[in-house]
Amino acid sequence: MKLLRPGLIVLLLLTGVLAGPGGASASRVPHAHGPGFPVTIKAANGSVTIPSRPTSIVSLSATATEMLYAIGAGGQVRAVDKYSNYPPNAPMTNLNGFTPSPEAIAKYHPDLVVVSYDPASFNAQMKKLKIPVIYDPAAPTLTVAYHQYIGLGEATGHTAAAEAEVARLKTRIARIVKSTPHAAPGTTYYWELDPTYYSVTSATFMGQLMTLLGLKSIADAAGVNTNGGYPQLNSEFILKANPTYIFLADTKCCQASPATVAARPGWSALSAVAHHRILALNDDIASRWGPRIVILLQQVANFLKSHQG
Amino acid sequence: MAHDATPVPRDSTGRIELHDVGVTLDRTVALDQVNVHVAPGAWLGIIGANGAGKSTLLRAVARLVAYSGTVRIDGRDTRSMGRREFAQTVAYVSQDPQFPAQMRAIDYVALGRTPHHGYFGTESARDRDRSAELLRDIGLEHLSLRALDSLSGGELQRLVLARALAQEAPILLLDEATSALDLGRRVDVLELVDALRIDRRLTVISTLHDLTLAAQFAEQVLLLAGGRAVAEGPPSAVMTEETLNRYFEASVEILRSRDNNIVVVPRRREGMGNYD
Amino acid sequence: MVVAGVVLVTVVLVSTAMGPADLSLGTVVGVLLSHVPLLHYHSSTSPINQAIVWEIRLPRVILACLVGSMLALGGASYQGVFRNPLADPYLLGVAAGAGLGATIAIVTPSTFSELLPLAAFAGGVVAVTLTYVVGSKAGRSSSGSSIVLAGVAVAAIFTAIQTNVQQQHAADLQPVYSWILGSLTVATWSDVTLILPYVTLSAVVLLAHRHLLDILRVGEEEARTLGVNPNRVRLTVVAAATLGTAAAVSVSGLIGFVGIIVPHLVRLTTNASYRVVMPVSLVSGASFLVLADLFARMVEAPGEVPLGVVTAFIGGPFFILVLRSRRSAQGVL
Repeated sequence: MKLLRPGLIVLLLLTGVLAGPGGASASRVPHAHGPGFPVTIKAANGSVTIPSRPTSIVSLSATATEMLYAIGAGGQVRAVDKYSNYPPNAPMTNLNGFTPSPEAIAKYHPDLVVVSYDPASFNAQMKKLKIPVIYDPAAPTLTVAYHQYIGLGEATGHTAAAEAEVARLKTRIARIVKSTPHAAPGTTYYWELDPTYYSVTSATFMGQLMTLLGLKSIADAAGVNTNGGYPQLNSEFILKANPTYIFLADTKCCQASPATVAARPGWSALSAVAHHRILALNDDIASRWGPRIVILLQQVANFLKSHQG
Repeated sequence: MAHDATPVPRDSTGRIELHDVGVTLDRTVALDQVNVHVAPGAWLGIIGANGAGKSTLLRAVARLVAYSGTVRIDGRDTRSMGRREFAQTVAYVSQDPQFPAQMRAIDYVALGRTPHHGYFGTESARDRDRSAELLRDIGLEHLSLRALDSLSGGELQRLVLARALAQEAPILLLDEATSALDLGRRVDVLELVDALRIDRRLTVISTLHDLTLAAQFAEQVLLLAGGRAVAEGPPSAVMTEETLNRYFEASVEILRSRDNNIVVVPRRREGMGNYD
Repeated sequence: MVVAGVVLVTVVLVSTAMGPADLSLGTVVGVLLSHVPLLHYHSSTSPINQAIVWEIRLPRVILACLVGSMLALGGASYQGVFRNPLADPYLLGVAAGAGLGATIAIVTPSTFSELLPLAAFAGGVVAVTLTYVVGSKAGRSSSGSSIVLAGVAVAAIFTAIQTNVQQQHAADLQPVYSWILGSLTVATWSDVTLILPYVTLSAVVLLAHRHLLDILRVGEEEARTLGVNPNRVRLTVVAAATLGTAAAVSVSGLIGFVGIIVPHLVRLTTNASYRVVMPVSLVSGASFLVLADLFARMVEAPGEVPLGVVTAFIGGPFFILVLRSRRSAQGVL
């Protein structure tokens, strides 16, 4: 019980490592029940058949909620979990995606449930209730995230919109990367997940986004796959590594800020502190693999530009 | 615990007077209005059947149970004594003392010095010396660094005595101090108590199961029955066939040994066997 | 005692000299010397290296000393009072109570960092009081297995409440778990100064009672006939041990097994008198945790292994050994 902190549990549970193969692709069977339904898609929990166009979706994944709204399926969403705080008009409930209760979910009479965490017997119970479940765990790569978009699009009858959204993301990301001068070799960053120095390596989803901008995580020294890519770093190592940038993904949970970082004993010696190269991120945006990754990437790119100029 | 920096009452001579001492345990009367006086330096043996209240009487004197009436030592009500002052006046050896297995003999004896140092104090060099002396007095000097679980029953019994003596209290209460020992060891320990009593002018009150030994060591015996004092006086006066038969619900025969000591011989019930 | 002292000094020196930052011995010594008053030595190394040694590594080593010695001394005290070889702050519910107190402090919107140790302390006191009351009601005396059973029950209840409070405040999950996990990753001098008064007070009181704990070993009545009030001794020792462990736990989180392993090892190598066990446990507990923490930061450097995991890794098998040798478990108390 005391071996894992929940932030980390969340990360581990959401990563593909624990989850098995991610992504989704559909094979359409021409039939009644609305155009294109029933449809069978592939998700991390195998093939999922949705008999007809869902009109009462329950999303227990904050990222999936954002994706559903991005592809125009928001109107079909009946309930979302307590962590699905974006978009603000999503019907937030007290449902907990990490301790999902089939009975509490059944109350909303869903015809589709989307989860990012899949506890052992949950799937089996939902099968008994004959409610299809799509399991989209944390995407380890952009490609997997795109597959999840397409899968959700097909499952909800918004295939075209999903494809358009993926194309939009690809274009935006390419544009941001292109417009940002590639960082000088040896430019490093420390990505803080919580004030006890849990961090991300370049092998994680966020790490890969940073790699696109030419940045390297100091946590790679701990082994890129240590603890699923989310190792806890030693504070003297952080000082010794003296990263060029510090990105704070613990501003909401733990009130971290450039000021609190600068006030930590010994940290004032860091060049990132001395040169104000600390960027406060929104925890939520910095931990989801949905539509707002472009906002995150743009924020980091702007920050880099302002310090490179 | 700021009280009692006062030294041992040196003028204490060890006279004990019990006035109407009564004890009620679990709403039953265990001891009922007992009166007895023990002269300084005397040995009072408490005898009686099982459940007669022998141990309860000792425990009342030792302030281990709540009691009514008064216990006076040299005229002072013991209730008015502080915890440490009382421990410097009365030493008590329980029926089944506990022996922490790996405690060393010398450390065990040194615990008896506790009333002589402050609440947070540990023993001084003088305390160490006293403990070593006592070990020598009881003939266990050579075992001083041995762990308690490596000692025999007789050695342990003598060690408890040494621990009690380390309190340097003028009054020594012994609750069946010898019951666990074999015949020879039992006499050894009682002889030791008697020698120390004479040497240090201790007042001794002991419960004794073995009536023959009680008669030989105690100068004065108190016979309890059902919590009441039914007879008191020199052994020869109290330990008659009639009294013992009545209060022990037994059939005993009192004999005299060659040196004219009382010998109590329990006999089979009448008609239950005859080996004439 | 001398041996234990020498070991501690060595362990502290080695531990200060080693770290993931891989500084030379000369650099470390230089930085340390530059902080000795009146010496006016000036270290020429970079500000970062100075910060690593003085602001990160040294407070962590010192904090490990304080927490380790407190947990070990607290464990020895609990074992003496309850006369049970398995008694330690963990089993008697102090840790669970402190955990609940800390959680409530964290989820309550206020200046949590100042209140945290106090809340942890209050929780610890409530839990151990409950354990003591329930245990002595259930069993005839205040010793023996009834106390441990009561402790297990109280710990379970407090942990359940704590989990529930945690679930209600999911946004604060992260700091709560960070605390419960137990580690010295974020140790600073302010942590050291925060707990130093409590730990010092507790250690002084406990050490002053070491002789009285020996008297408790020969029994309740014997203690009374020796002029000692056993209940008062127990109450004082439990209060002091709770104060100290709650303070230690409030900055380190829940680190298990130190309070059992260290006093037992000390008993096995000395004559088991509390007069010896208490001070030697104090010193050896410091050495033990400094070493365990060195292990925690070096084994996967620059990654961290949770300190609680390291002590449990050593403690688990040790616990089994203690259970197997009943003689050493029961006889020495």
